Amino acid sequence: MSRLWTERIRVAFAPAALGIVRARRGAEAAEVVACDAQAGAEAWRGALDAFASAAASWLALRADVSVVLSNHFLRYALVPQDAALRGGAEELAFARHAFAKIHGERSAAWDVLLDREARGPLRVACAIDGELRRGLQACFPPGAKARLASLQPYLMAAFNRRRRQLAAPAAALLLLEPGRACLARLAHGRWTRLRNLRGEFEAPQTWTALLEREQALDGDAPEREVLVRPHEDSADPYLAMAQCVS
Amino acid sequence: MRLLTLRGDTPRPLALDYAAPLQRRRWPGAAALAIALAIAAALVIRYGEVQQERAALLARLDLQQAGTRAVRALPARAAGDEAKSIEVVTRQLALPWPEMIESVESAANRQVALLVLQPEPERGTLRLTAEAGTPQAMLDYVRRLGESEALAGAHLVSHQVRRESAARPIQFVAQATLRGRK
Repeated sequence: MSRLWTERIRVAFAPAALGIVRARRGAEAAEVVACDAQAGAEAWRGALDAFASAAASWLALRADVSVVLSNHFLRYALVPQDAALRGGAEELAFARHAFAKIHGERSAAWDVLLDREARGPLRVACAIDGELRRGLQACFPPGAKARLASLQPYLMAAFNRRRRQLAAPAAALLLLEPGRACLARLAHGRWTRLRNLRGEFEAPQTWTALLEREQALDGDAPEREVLVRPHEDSADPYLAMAQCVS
Repeated sequence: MRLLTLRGDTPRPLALDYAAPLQRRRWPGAAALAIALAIAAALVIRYGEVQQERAALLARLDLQQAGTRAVRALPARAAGDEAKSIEVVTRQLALPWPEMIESVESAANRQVALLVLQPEPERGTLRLTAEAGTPQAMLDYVRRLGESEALAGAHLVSHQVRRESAARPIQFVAQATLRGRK
């Protein structure tokens, strides 16, 4: 079946809002849908309800839907590469173990993914609440014309879009959202440090303080590093997040 | 140099897509595409072979048609005519032309002008058309023609006075037998 005339829908999935960008035959439309962040015990419940409502209206469309998950809903870890591990199953189990060491038993309900390969000694792993992942995929039942083409962390979308700028001897990728900051640091294109922090970092003095603190904690880091801040000039953080999907 | 260094350090893309397992179901499409490409390649190759065969057949057909045309150019009747023509020429070449011409010229005088000399080798005769100023000159010419060494039995076949000419000459046809031809 040809997807040539398929509508492309990109969605930023965040606790307080959905950023939706729809593109079809060169025309693009954007909207921000507010969500109730206090709708349930989980922070994602209100966003999932809003998303399910929106997705229901797309099911009859021939559409590819890509969802960018806010860093609020994800956990990250840098997992050391171990030559003793054989095969993807053992490596994934090792990544799960890394999350369990940090977050305890609650990580058992998380769906963990491990980056396929890395240049350096560390690989990126991420975890999402399994119920959220299943809830998002359930919005596109079999037989629907619309399909969930991608369900990716904000870190992945932003990193892949700007990774060429991160090839410097020292580089930092800073992703700011309302109530959260994610900071990735790399040296010569290799991952060295990854932090996903709750808090208000929108004011420059707060995120510069974060950078200085992380730089100080990373003892081997040189004084000068390239800072990549996607969407620093964007009018709406949710639409910018949605548009960073390539 | 710096640019090369940066390219060399460019990190690989992150692959952390939770919908990726769904995308694995695309393999049937990829397999169908590969099969279709293989079939298309085979068809292209076969098309080239067929084109070559067609060109060879056309070339053979042209050769055959050219051969037919060559054969048609020499039908049996034409070949017979040509043989006859050759035979006639051969017979004419075999005529005693020097003696014959000498006889005709020796018989002529100022009052007789020779117009056409027409030997008939198959019958062994010589037919000539001439013009004479008077009837007597005509008769004398025919008589002298019959007395020559190469010709015998000379006689007048027909004669006609040309009235359109002021001198009113007599155009006549005489015939003689080639000696030794009958």
